Amino acid sequence: MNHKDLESQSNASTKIPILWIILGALGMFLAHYLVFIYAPMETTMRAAQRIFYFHLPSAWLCYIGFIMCAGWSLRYLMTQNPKHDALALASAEVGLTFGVIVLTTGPLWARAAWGVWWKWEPRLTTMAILFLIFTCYWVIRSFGGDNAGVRRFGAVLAVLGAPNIFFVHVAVTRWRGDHPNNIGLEPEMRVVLYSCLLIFIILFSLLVRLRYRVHTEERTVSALSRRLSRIGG
Amino acid sequence: MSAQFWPCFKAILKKDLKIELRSKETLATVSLFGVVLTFLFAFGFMGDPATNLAVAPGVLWAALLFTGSLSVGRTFAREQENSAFTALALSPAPRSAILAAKVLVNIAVMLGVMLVITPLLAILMHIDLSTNLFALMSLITLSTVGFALVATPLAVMAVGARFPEVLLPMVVFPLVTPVMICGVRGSAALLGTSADLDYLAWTQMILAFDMMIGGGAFFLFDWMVSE
Amino acid sequence: MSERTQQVSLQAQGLTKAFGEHYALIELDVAWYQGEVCALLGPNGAGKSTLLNLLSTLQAATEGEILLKGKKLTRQSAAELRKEIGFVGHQTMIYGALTAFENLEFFAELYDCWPAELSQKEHQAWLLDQLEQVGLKPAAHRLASGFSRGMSQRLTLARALLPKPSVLLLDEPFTGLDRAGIQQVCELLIKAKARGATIILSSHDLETTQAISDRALILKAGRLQGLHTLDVGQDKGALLELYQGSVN
Repeated sequence: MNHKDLESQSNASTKIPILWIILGALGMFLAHYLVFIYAPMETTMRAAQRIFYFHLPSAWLCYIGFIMCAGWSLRYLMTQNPKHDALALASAEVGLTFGVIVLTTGPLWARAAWGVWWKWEPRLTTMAILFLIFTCYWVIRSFGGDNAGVRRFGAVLAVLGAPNIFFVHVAVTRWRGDHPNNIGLEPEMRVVLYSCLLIFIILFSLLVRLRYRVHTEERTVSALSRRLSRIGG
Repeated sequence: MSAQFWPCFKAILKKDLKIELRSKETLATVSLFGVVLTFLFAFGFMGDPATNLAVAPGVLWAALLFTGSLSVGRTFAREQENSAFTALALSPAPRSAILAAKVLVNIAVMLGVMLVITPLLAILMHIDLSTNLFALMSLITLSTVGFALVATPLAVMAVGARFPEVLLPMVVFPLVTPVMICGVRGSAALLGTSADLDYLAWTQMILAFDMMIGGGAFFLFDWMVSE
Repeated sequence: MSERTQQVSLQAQGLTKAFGEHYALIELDVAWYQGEVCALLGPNGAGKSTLLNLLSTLQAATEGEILLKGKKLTRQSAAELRKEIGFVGHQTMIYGALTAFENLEFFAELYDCWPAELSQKEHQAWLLDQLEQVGLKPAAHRLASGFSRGMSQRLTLARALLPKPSVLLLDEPFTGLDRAGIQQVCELLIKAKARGATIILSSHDLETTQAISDRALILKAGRLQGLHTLDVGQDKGALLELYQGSVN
């Protein structure tokens, strides 16, 4: 990496997306208002149904995070461009964060609806396996050290992991299926759901950007300190 | 595919099989581990005949995964002795030839191990396998192929990693979940304990999985081992 | 030195390697010529092994590039280009569970480097001949795991020389060899040099190195300290003096 690269790289990621942060913060307040006050009470599930407004957008964004991780990983394998790797890592981290929300809200709802914390049901199982795979990815990236071998290993794992989901899903669906599908939503409920989704998308892209910024800055710092050690030594 | 693929593929395969047949080290140790595992599972799950039939597929496929990850690790430990893999990686051999040969060797070893474990399990748990033997064998073979296709490229990349003995199973097991589900459900259908689908549908699903992973692995492998 | 008029075979341009924040090699610019033997000298940790690892493509450079016959050399380079490089590292890179003969046979198949004029039947004799040249013929059919360090080293050299590479990279090639072994290896290297190979070696055996080298490249803390032409007639201590003079 030469000086120019270093500078352009740090410039590109130094800007903190203030607007997005404000938007995200206000959005989260709005989401809470909508979910807990605006949304009508559902007749059978009562208050427990409200968890679904957080659960569903999180699940979608978790998937999107992992798919983005796989996509950027594939790009990284082909280009060896460290920025693509940083994007892959950032997507995985944010995907995992939303995954934690899914896997906490899911069982809470399941307890209320089905009377058990966990059911062997396609979407639940797929999410769990996906979550495991990307936890592995994250663990390897965290403890494996920062070298090309570890980055490539993680990338291959992500690329092999994402299409795997399709198989897990099909397999479990054939095995057993029982997830609430096409729940009839009242118009107000729909409004709340889509608003939440939008707000979560803002939160998601904000988090990915911030994490990406951290990773690229880290790399810039280590490149600079290497340069420094070379001048000194 | 480059012209060097077949000669290199054959050379590596010949070399590995020669070493394996000579020392029988991997096959012997992993088979023994499989036998121990089968006994332990049998102790843990033995019950009335109906229970045995119900748990046998799970036991068999769990054993397949455990012995599989062990044997894949072993075949690469051999390459690491004296850093021989370095010479292989520096050679003009196409990466895909190295991968293909290694996958095949792993499949051969794993099938050898399953040949020991499966009848043992049948004996210990009083299960009659003779009626659907061919179907069961094809299910096991395809599962083995799927496992080897996932584990081998990752094992190649883990050569020289910091914690390979934990790394490999940790990463491979979640990735082969489809093989586990299809294998267990498929053999349960064969044994008549599960009616959710007939074994053929499960076999087809493993085959599709094998093809997808195999294609992906060979497509990606050149990029995987570039340092 | 008359070799100077010869073609450049291998070139390092701005070659730099960092491990974390430690630099093992810093902006090295060197050209090596066909038919020369170049000795790498320097204290431990000077970057000799790193340089050889980079040239062999075993490790990727942090910055800079390597040109082999004018073409950029990386791990992804075409097989034809990688075939040109013979590498002997710290590790013997041989299979203990195979015999010496089988080890060579495997690499001959991998490199597809059987001499064209030989028929399938003569391959075995050719391999035995290669073993003979490093003095391993009596042990040809013994398992390599039982070999002493010196025997393993001979086998490794035979393996590296097998495809007649145009660049030979040798990291401490004389490790574990007795006098007769060193003599044999030197003869092989001189033979390789005569057919136009570039040989780059690092060794602590200054006397032997002096005897076969044309040039000496001195490294200190990852930087090029000096590049000296050695004369055949120089007395045996010359290299040592040169080395100590450059480093201190």
